[in-house]
Amino acid sequence: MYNYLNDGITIDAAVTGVSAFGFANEVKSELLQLGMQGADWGLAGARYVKVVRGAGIVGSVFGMGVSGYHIYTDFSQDGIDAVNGWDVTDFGVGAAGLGATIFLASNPVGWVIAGSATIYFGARFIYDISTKP
Amino acid sequence: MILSLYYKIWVDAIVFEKTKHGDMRNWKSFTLIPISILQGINLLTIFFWLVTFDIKLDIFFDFNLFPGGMLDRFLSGFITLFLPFIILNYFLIFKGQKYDVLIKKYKYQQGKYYLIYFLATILIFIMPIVIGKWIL
Repeated sequence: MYNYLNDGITIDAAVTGVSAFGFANEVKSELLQLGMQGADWGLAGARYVKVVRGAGIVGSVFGMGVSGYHIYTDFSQDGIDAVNGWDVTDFGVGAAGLGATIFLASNPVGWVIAGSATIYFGARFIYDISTKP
Repeated sequence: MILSLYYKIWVDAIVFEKTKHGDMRNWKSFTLIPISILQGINLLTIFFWLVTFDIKLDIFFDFNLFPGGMLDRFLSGFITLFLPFIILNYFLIFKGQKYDVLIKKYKYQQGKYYLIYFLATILIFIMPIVIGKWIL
């Protein structure tokens, strides 16, 4: 099994990462709640979905840009073993988000995938900012 | 041959986006951005394979402008991989509404070409990494 601890990720950092995921998820819940406060949930829901659809492509571009950079530089410097498992995961999540944004945009399954990808990259970004000055 | 395939994929993507989601979002940006990303991944795949033949090119610009490292790397990846294709696609497809001519010239394939292009691009890039790192 791949050991992420070898990549210098400490337990503290992992806890920070989990907190970041929690924070991002809370933001999503707050957004949902805000939409539901109005009497017209249909309108608020539609707006939320529109935001998620737009954010899906932003998350995918961001995640695939960053992971593409890492995968190529690691591979060109030290070979296939140097490629980080997190970067491959990021690329996979970005690809799923992009696929959902393109092909499942009118489907709730697609909204969930694209929204989740955006939350994932939001959390990774918060983790990055909070652990590296 | 390659240019013809490029136009066929574009026509498939544009008509697919217009017919499936045209009422809910701007079809121009939602075809230009995804296809430019996929072409950026194609370019990355080529550079990736060149490294296996010991041709190592320093393709990314390095920045140190933001806290953390992700935004800098995103900016670097965006400029190297995506921006050139956004500009190229704009001039080859959108400028002067060339897409109208292309849609009349090439047949719509119900999004099949677009889907195949998407899956092939992702799998050709990611599978060798997964196989090389975890399976072999």
